[in-house]
Order: sequence, then C-alpha cells, then structure tokens
Amino acid sequence: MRTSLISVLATALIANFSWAESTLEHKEIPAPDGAYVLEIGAAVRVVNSGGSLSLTLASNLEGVQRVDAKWSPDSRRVVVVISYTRGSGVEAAYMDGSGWHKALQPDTDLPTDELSRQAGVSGRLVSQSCRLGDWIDSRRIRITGELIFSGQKKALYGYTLVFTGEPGHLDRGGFEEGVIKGIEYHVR
Amino acid sequence: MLLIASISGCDDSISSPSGGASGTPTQNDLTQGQQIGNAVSGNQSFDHASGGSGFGSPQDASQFGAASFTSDSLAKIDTDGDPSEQGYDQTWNAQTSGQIDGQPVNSADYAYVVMSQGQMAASGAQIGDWALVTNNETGQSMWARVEDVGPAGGTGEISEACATGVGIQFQKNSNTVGNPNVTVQVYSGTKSISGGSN
Repeated sequence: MRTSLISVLATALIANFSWAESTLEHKEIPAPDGAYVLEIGAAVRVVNSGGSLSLTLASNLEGVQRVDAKWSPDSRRVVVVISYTRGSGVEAAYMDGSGWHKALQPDTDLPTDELSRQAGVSGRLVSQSCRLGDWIDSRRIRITGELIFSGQKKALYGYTLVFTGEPGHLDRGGFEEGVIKGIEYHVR
Repeated sequence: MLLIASISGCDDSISSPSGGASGTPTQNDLTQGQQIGNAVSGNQSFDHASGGSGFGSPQDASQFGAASFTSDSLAKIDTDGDPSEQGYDQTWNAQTSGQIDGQPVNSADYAYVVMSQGQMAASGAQIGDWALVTNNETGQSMWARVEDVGPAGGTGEISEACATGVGIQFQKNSNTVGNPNVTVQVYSGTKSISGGSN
C-alpha cells in the first residue's frame, strides 16, 4: 500500500514538473511558387512540396505566443518573427546553391538606447515586440516594432531587414549571423 | 524518488522582498542595465553554488562543459509569476514563458533567469536549461533555470528567489537596493537534468 502510494505520488510529481509544450495552432504557409511550405506547429520547419524536411528553424516553441512568417516574392527566403509575451526575435531561412540555411538577427542590431532617446522615453525596458511588414523586393522587408518601458512608456519603431549577401558566421545555435541585418531604424 | 527528494528540498524560507528606502537605482543605472552585458572569460566555479530555490541544483553539473551564454550586467528583478507583486511592480506580468503544471513560474518561489529569444536561439538554450547566477560583489552563486523570455538585448534579469539566494536585496517595486552586478551563465541542452537538494 505504502509502495503504491509513493508510486502514485511520484507520478503526480513528475507530471507537475514537466514543462509545457507549445499550444500554437498548426499553420502551413506555402511559398509563392508552391515548391516549399513553412510549417508552424510544435516546431517551425521548411518542408518541400512532398513533405520532406528541408530545414528546422525552431525546434522548441515552449512559451511562444505567436509566430508570423512571410515568404519573399521569389520564394527563396522566408522571414519569421517568434514572439513571447515580453520579447520577439527575427529569424530567416534562405536557399542558395547548396541548399537551405537559417539566419538570425542578433539582439545587438536593435539600437534600443537611440530609439528611446529619439522617442523621448526612458526607464527600464520591459518588453519589445515586432511585426512583419511588406517585402520591398526579394531581399528587403519592412518590420515594425514597439518598445515598452516601465510606466508603460512606449517607443514605436520601424526598420528594414536586409539579406546582406555576405557570408555569416555560425553561432552555437546553428544560425548564421550577419546574413540578415536591420538598417534604417527610425521612430514611428 | 529523486524528484520527491528535490521537491522536499525546496527552500521554504524565502521571505518576502525586503524593503529599504535608500539605494534605489538611478535612471542612469537602469539605462546601463539595458545594455548588452560584457562577456566574461572562463566559468565560475560550481563548487560553492547553492541549490536554486524550487529547482534545487543540477545533479551533476560537472558534465555541463562551457557555458553557452554568458552575460555580466546590472541585476534586474523579474517579479513575473508572483501574484503578490501585482500592483507593486510596474513591470509585473502574471505570466512567465516557462510553466510548471500549466501555471506561471512564481518568481518568489523559483530561482530563474530571463533570456531574449535571440540569445536563446544563438546559444541553443531552451526554457528549462540550467543557469549559474553569481553576485559579482559577494561571490555568492546559485543555480537557476531559464524560465522567462524578455526583450532583445536584455541581460541580468533574475527572479526574486534567485536574487535572495545570491544576497541581492530589492524593494517591493522590484528596484534593487544598490547597484548589484551579476554574471549569468547558461548551459544549453541541460533542461532534462534533474535538480536535487545540496
């Protein structure tokens, strides 16, 4: 009896300490030419029209509130914004002669201090979010964002995300950094 | 059974945030805290790290290897997930990105750290990975887990339980007393390693 009670208790504790899985609604966003699809579900993946995996952009979406993505007009690039309650990040997948690659826009791109100065706000940065705008051409896409500081003071900003065409360096997460870069940051 | 040991080893002695009228960070201090922390070389020693509240400490930290992410910056207190902070902390949020049994991770009960989405992606870290937090002034260190995701470029955000564990005092409004500096080292791929009491 005692053993079974301990067993039940242990099972309950294991259940209590398991981490939550993503509850995002499954979405499939096809490239304009239909050759590839971006799948958003338990992970964010690029698959070909036959359903075979080409690239995994994000394998764990625990805590993620929203994933937005837009394919470039030429179907060779897809930009993805992954948003949590208090922060967003921009990733991309692109195809070249050697196949698919994944790229990350580093945090250091975002000129928080300059934007807050221009917006005339200060305080502790509490949250930051961004949304995808329209593609300007197949290498440039507009992005808008919002910085919220303590006291609910806001700085709205915009910039252009560019595929630089330059070789990036691989980070520990397997992303190429330097391949996508934010330019023309401004306060809206 | 290890889990039972881990949970029974939770530190129930975490007290409410201590008050203090003096030492509120200046605006300049808070602005500095938003900057990307400088990377520090090498790893802090695991030897004197205390077990993180709620999570305990990893059962075999010697297998962690080098930290995949390191920041060294002004400490900021994340009170998210602690219902008692509602109405006191302007930056309070009911939710944390990590959850335990479908509930937010209570900042007062669990030692956790905050990373940005970009930091997690670049370092391969995930919610639940272990992190070692060190008070650079006193040398006190504590194990914590990554349990919240914050704004791009943010560093040094730690939970109330973590701050208390490394000897950092703070006010009910989450302002720290003085300008404590912390080093946060995150070990990617360690999420599945169980915690236990010291």
